[in-house]
Amino acid sequence: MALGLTFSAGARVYASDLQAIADQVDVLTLGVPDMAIATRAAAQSYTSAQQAALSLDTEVVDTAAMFAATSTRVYCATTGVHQATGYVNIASPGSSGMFIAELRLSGTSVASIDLPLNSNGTARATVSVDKLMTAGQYMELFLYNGTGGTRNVTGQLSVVRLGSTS
Amino acid sequence: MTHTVTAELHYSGTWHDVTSDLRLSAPLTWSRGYSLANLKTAAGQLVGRITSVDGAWNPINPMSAIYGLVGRNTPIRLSVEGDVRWYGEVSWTPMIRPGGDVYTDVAAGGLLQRVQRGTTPLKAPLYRSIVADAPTAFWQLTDQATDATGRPVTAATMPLAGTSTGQAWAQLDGPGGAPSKALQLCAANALTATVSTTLAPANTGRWELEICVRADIDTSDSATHFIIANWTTSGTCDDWFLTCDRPDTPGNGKIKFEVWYRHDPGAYRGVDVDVDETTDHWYHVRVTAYQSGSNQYTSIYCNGSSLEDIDDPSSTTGSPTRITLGPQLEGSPYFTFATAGVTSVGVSHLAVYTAAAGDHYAAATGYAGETAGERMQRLGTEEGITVTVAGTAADTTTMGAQPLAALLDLLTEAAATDGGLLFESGSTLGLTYVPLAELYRRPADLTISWADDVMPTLRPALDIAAARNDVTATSTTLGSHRYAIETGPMSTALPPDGIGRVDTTVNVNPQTFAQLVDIASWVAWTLCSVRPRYLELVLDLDAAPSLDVTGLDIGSVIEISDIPTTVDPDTPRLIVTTIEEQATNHRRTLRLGTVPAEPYDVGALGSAGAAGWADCRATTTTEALDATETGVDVAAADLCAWTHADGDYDIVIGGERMTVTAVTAAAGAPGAYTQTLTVVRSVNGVTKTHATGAEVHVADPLIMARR
Repeated sequence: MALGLTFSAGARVYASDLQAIADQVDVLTLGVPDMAIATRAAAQSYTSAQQAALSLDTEVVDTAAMFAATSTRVYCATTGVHQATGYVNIASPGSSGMFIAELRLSGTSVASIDLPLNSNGTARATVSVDKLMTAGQYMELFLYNGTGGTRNVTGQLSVVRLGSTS
Repeated sequence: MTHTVTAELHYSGTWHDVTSDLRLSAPLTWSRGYSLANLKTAAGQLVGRITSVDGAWNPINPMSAIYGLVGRNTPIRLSVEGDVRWYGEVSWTPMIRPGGDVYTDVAAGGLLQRVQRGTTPLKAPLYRSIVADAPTAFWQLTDQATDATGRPVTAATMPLAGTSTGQAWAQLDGPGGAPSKALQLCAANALTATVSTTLAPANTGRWELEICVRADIDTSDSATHFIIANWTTSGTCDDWFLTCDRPDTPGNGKIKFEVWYRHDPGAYRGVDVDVDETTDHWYHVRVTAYQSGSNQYTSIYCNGSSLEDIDDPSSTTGSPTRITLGPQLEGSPYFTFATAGVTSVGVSHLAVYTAAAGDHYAAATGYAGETAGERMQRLGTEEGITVTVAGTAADTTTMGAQPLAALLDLLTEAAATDGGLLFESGSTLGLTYVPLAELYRRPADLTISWADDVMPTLRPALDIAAARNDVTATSTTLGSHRYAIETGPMSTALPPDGIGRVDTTVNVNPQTFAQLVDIASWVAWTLCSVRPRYLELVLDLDAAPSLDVTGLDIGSVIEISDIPTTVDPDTPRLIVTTIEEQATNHRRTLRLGTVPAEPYDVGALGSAGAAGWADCRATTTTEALDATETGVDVAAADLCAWTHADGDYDIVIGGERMTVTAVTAAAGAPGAYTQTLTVVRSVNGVTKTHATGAEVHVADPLIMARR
């Protein structure tokens, strides 16, 4: 895609032209954005009243060295707006109490959801948030088991860079 | 103040001090320089007078002590305070007046007074390179269309004569390093023409053969296969073929050359190489064979690379005895020939050596791709003159093929293409080149005081004497590119919006068209600086005895300090382009020609050494400013916002330089941001009020450099 800009040797460089290039570079790189998807394939057991980050044991995709199994964290490689999505699956959740899934950005809660508990099968939920992340920050999927019994959990955490801020 | 001026002549193998006879009552004057407007080196001059009682300094006077020792172009050098300031070659004009003053005028010139007299173009690079290695036999094969044979360059060598019909002399454009018209051996699908000769070299045990081959064929055609050359030798491997073939993988952008030779009666052995297809279809092929013990070692080279070697035990090498060129249908029964896919085949510059020679592939391309600095140094070495590159030759711009031109024209072309300064050296007989890259952001070599160090003749000039705002850069091989500055105070717009169109053409020879584009705009912008020229810049070394000009040379940057704001609100930075020096034993001045250095203060990116600030194309003040207000309200009508993220920087409003120390967040929409810049006012001494709508620009803009 042509920018329509011409830089001439000896001429001044203007900020708006540089910004146009930066924007274009950002658009072009969106074809392969920074992203990582990691899952918890083997069930992770949460005892009653336990609150802990989901430990991710399987890497699905990682385009920017954001994740290394096994870990609870997916890191930001390049500063920019990122979309983080957590998915939780509880095999036999029961119907009492509560089970909370929470996205934490470098330890700070940025989004959460109460899973719909029921006594007939599984409980599933997705929590998602768009956040400005700076390089080196990380996202985790924290779970709190308030159901009164031990629960086996699988799930997924994905972090995808959407673009720069300017 | 006294000055120690020393003049020396070089004869009888040493330098002779002739100062005592030199008349210093009138000043000696000497000069050197380069014109960035004309892209030409100025020939240096030295003018003086020497006392010649009884014809002592008349070189043609048999009774003088210098008779037979001193003559035309005797080397001369001049020193002031022990520092060699000028070096040249002297001519003599004796003045003989019986009973009157007897003296001899000496007029000396630098290297150019001799070199620039020659207008004969240098031979083509490939020719020069081959001849330098003393070939046993050499044919250029650039004979006239009416010629029947290829005349040899080397003595005692037979011409290459046509042995069949179809050859066409002077038919094909030659390779870059031998641009004369070359011999076409065949056109499409007509493999009949051959030329042949016999050889009888005295040396045996080593031979090398090189030839430029133009093979314009369809490399995707799997059937193409023909002979380019066949030669016989007196060795045990006596029958040799150079063939052109389809590549192993047709259509892969490669072309294959093979060497086949008979190593036993009836048995042929071959080596082959695939090389990248070239745009001009010319290939430089070289085959070498030499004896080592009872073995013969054979190598084939193509386009400068050794691509295959082979070892034949129990063989003798001998020497070539007959050569035939042409895509022959006849030949060894071991080969089959197919003409499909052939557009044309040509040859140029066939050479045979019986001693080790160098590889001349670079010369065959005309040294295309070598840098301007490297070209100057190579030409200097080849022609026996000293060319000093005051910088890194490898960092200069890359050149196109060396054309057929005189030495000085080639040097001038290289300098113009790179954009630096080529001038006669001050301390040796030779040329010095300051590359463009050495002029970028060059720190001041000398700071002089407006008040104390210069004669009061110095003045700024806002004129268009050196301005060229419509520049066409022309290359004989790449075409031309035109660049015009169409907006702004130095633009082609009619006055008062611009200065009107002032056009020029620069003849250059870069390697690529993209460089040509850069050159056109670079020349325009550097010649159209909004900064003033400075005229009559004369350093008075008697008024300013502490001024050290020892290192001052063409290309030096000088800054003029404490210049009154009413003369120039900025500190002038000037690149020295000419020096005219005058000295007696009691007076010394340097008159400097300069150009503004600011256009050369290009931007640099990176965390370390960054230079230049991106400007905003359309920022204006949104309030009237008194002479002291430090909160400057601005609006940016371009898609940008002001920032202080990288620290303090300077802006200019109406000639007043201010230092920005803080910037508020942008308010409003992109393209219409409003902000307040916190500034320190009047940092360049200019104190004034500003009206609403005044333009705001960074003081030290980011300038694009050249490739």
